[in-house]
Amino acid sequence: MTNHYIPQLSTIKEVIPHTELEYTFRMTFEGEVWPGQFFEVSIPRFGEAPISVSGIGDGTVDFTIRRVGKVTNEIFENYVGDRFFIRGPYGNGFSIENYKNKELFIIAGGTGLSPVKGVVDYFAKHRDEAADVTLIAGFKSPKDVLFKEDFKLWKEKIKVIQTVDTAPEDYTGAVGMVTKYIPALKPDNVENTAFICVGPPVMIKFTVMEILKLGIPEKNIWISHERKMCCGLGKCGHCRIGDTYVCLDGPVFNYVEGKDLID
Amino acid sequence: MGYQLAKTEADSLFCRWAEEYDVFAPKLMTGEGCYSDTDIIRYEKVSSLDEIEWSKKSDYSFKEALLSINETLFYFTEDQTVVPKGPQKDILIFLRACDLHAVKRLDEIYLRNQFEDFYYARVRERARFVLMGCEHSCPSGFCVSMGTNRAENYDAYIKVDGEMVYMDLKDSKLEASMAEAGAKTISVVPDFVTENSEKVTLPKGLSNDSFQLEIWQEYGARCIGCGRCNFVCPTCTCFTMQDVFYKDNSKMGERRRVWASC
Repeated sequence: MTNHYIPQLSTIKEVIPHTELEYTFRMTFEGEVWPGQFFEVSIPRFGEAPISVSGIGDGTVDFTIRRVGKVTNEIFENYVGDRFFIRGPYGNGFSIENYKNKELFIIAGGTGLSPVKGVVDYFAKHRDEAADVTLIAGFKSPKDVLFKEDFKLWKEKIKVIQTVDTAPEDYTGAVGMVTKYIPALKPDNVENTAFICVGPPVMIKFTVMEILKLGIPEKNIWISHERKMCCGLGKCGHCRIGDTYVCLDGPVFNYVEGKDLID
Repeated sequence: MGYQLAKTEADSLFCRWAEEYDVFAPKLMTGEGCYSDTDIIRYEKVSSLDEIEWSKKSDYSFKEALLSINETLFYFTEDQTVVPKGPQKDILIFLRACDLHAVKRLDEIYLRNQFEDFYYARVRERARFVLMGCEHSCPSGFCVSMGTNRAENYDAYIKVDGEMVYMDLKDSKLEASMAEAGAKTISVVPDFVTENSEKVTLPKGLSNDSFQLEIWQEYGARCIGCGRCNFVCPTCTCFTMQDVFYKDNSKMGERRRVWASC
C-alpha cells in the first residue's frame, strides 16, 4: 500500500529571482509531469503548500514561488544544493492535444502565468503545431513582471502582449488590465479557437465575459481554478465544490464545467 | 446466524472479545461535557457491555474510532520520515444503521476517490461493525426520508433486553467465538426505525442561484468556526495539516492531520 502523504527529498539545482518576492526554484524530479499540475512543497516544521509547476526540464521541475506565508518564507531560506521535500505531481494539468491546430489565446494574470507557462513554452518551441498563438500576460506593475528572459524568447516565436495595471509615466510598454486587449482579438474562425485563462478568480470572471463577447463557444475556453488546496489527494475536503475535487478533477477545467464551480 | 444468550454469558463473551479486539462504543462520560457539570456521550474503548450507552444518541460521531481527531502521519528529522505503527489489534465499532451508511461514504472518499488513504485503509481493514438497533427514532432524526434507517452491511447485531441478549452474527471470526458461549440459535431481526416525526424531501435539480439565497447569509453569520459540525457529522472527512516540533530539538517533530471543517 503506497503512502501518498510521504514527501520525497528534492535538491535545488537553480534559483532564478524574478522580483523581490517571487523566485523560481528548479528542483530535481524524475517522473511524468504536465503543465498545470502542482506539487505539495513540504517543509517539516512549517507545513505544506500547493505550488504549480512552472517549467518541466530533463530531470527537473520548476516552482515559481511567491513569498507570502510561513512555508514559502522558509523555502526562500534555501539555496542551490539545499534540499526540501516535495510530493506530487497532482491534478490534471493542461492537455496539449486540446490546443493543437487551433488559434490559441493564453491570457494570464500575475503568478497565474506559472501554471500555464509550460503550454506557452511548448507552442513557442513547436509553433507549427498551432494555427496561431497569442499570449496576453498582465502584471500589477513593471517591477512585478515574471519570466523576463522567457518573454524575450516568446516574443520571437508567438504574439505577446505584456501589460501592467499601473506604471510610471516614463514606462513605454502596454498599460491596462488584460481585459482591455481582448475586444481587439480577431480570430479567423471562432469555432477553431482555444482560450486559456489563468489568474485570480475576479480576473477569470471578467476575462471570460470579454471572451464570450467575441462569440467564442464556452467549450473553447479553459480555466484553472487555483483554489485553496491542502492534501492534494481528494481527502481533506478543502477544495471540494459540490461533487468536484479541484485537486483531483482540476485545477484545469473546461469552462462548460468550470463555470458552475461556485467558490 | 441469530443467537439468544443470557446476559451473564454475553458478558463473558464480551470480555473475550475485549481481549482480542479494541472495542469502541458510545459511552456516557459523567461531568466531561462542554460546560460545567454536564455529561457527554463519546466513543471510547470499552471492556464490558454495561459501559455502552444504548439508549441515547452519541454527541460525537463514531468516526473517531476510524479516524483520530489528531493523527500523526509521520515523524520527521531533517531529511528522514518515519511512519507510526498502525493498529495492533482488530477493532469492533458499535454504531447505528445511519452510521453504517456513513461508513460507505467515508470508504468512497478515503479508499477510492483516486488515491487510497494509507492511514484510513490500515484501520479500516481491521475494523468490524456491530449494529445497535433503534427501537425509536431520535427526536430530530430523519433517517427514513434518507433511506438510512436500515443497514444490512453489519458484521454483528447486538441487542440487550433485560437479562437476555440477542445477536445476529455475520462475521465468521465473531461467529467462531460463539462455540463456547452456550448460546441458543434463533432468528434475530434487528430493530430499525420505520417512521420519523421529522420528514425531509430532497429538492431535485437545484440551480446555482440557490447559493445566493438569503438563508446562507443568515446561516453563515451564526458560524463561530468552532468545528463542531466537523465533529458531529459522520461523513465529514475534512482535515488540515499541522506540523509540530519538539522543544528539545526543533529539527525533529511530527506532521499531523487534524479534523478541520470549512
